[in-house]
Amino acid sequence: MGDDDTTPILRLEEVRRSFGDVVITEALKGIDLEIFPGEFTSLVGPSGSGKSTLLNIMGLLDRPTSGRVLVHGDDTTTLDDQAITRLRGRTLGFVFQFHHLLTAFSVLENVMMPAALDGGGFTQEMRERALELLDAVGIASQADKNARQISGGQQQRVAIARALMMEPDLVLADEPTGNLDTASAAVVFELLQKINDDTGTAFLLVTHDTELAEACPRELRIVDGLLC
Amino acid sequence: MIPRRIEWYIAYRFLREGSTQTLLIFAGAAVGVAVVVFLTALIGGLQESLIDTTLGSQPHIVVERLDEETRPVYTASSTEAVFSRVQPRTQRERPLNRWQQLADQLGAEPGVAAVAPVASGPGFAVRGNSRKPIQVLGIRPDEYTPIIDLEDRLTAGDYSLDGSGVILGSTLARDLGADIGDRLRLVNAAGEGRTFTVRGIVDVGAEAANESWAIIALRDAQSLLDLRGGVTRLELTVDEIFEAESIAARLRQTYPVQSTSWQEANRDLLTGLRSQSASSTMITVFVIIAVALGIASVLIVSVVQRRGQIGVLRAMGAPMSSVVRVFLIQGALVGLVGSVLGTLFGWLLVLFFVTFARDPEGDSLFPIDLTPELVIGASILATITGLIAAVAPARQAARLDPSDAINNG
Repeated sequence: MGDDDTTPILRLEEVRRSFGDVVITEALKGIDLEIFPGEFTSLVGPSGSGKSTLLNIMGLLDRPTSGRVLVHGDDTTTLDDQAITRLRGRTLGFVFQFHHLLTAFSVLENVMMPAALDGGGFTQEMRERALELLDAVGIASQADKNARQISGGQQQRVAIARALMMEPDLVLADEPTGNLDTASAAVVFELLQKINDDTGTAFLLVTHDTELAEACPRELRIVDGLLC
Repeated sequence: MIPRRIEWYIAYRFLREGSTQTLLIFAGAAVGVAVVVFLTALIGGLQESLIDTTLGSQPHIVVERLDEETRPVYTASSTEAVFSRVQPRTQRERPLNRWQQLADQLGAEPGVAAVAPVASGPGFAVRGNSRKPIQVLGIRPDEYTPIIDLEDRLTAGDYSLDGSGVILGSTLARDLGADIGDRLRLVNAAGEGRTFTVRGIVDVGAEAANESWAIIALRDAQSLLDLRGGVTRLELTVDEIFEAESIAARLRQTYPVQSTSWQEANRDLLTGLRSQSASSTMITVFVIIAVALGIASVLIVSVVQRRGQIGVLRAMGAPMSSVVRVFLIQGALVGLVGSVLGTLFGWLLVLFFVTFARDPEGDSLFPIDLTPELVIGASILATITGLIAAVAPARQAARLDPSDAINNG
């Protein structure tokens, strides 16, 4: 295991994923992929091409039917739920199209939640870090509001701040601008780029937006379950 | 498996967010607990009252001489066929053999709290033109108090039998027109008798006793009934009233006597009490099942509504066990809060019952006690019910595929 720029954060080796018992659909047909620290990558592909399946496997939310997923060089195939959950929480951040903020909690608590789940409860240190992140995404003033009380664009920024709370090596963003208007989408994209520049956090953006994809230094294209 | 602070907090916030659902589920649990608390207190009070009334005129165990056996006039040999009719023998009031020694032995038996000698037999009370059949009860007042506390049941006069004193059952006193200080004559079955002074009138809560009891000193009774220092029975109090039956059985095996527990003497009452307890238990079980189903269904709806959020929690680092605990905590909290509200509601029901359900004299029908044991028991029961009811929703939540929950939540 190594943490320098030459060791990928995430490495997929001949990853296949099939669904169904009787009629078997192969969503991923042998993916080999490496994501290195600091990379800003886009993943594009038509609907049904396997984007979401690939993202779920990269995010350790799903397991491949065959092949291996390595995080910092360590094979995750044999890890149990507890271990894989911990690894996911500490290594990866997630931004979803429908952000899925926890509506029972305030904006600040939403951002603190990954750290609280890891540490067992909220602490002052977490509060300070969460406020810094909210400040970085420009919505520190909304910290005490309920997650329901802010706009869609603001909610997505909260989701970005939440994804960065554990200082992950890689943030996986599934259509992070897909649910926003053009202006808000541009702001969110610029924000992600800035964080990448400032912190060196790697990003993988799944998007339908070809313009957005082309603006990323590295572009991956998936068609029929294969990267091309 | 001890829940972490964050799991308590998430559970609390989930409950708080679904305020309408939460209030409804609290109300459901509270009504269930109230029914259990009220019913248990009511049945408990009723049974206690019935037992108290029954034991107001009966000892826990009566020890008497064995019945006289009926012996056939002729015993046939194995080769003979005899047509015979054996008539049961008439049982006489006969004194217990060496009763002082037996009383000491019985007093030392485990579980026996008190022993008192009683000389009892039929007779008549005569006052003026009035002549009433009575049951003479000869006792030593001090020794008899642990058996039946007659002093506590006096309606007039004193608990004193000195100087040819007699305490009459309340109905008997009324029938004889006798009051404190009046003199009357008690006679035995043979017509021999002497004069006694009424010292007290007692209401033991059982009409049969109230209309026949004439309680006099043991020595007076021994003389009146011609027992010559003997007693007809020993009456016992035991430490645990429901142990009386097994103690009585043990005494029968140990000593050559006939011993009868209050349960054996009141089979019908016991059957009634058991039926009451069984129906109360059944109602409690069904109420608990209904409450559990209510809690489970609301939590299952909550899981469905929060699919996406549960998926995100899992993605952010919450293991399956954490998700399980979040929902188990919610179930337990609902049970606990429901039990507090339910106990309060149950207490109000008890208060309402005690205030408005009264006999024609305006007295409470019977006391209902909301004991700390009942309140604590109901709380534990409700909390465990909530916990068990939350198992299925918790498992459902934990089994959610995070990616599926996020994408389709």
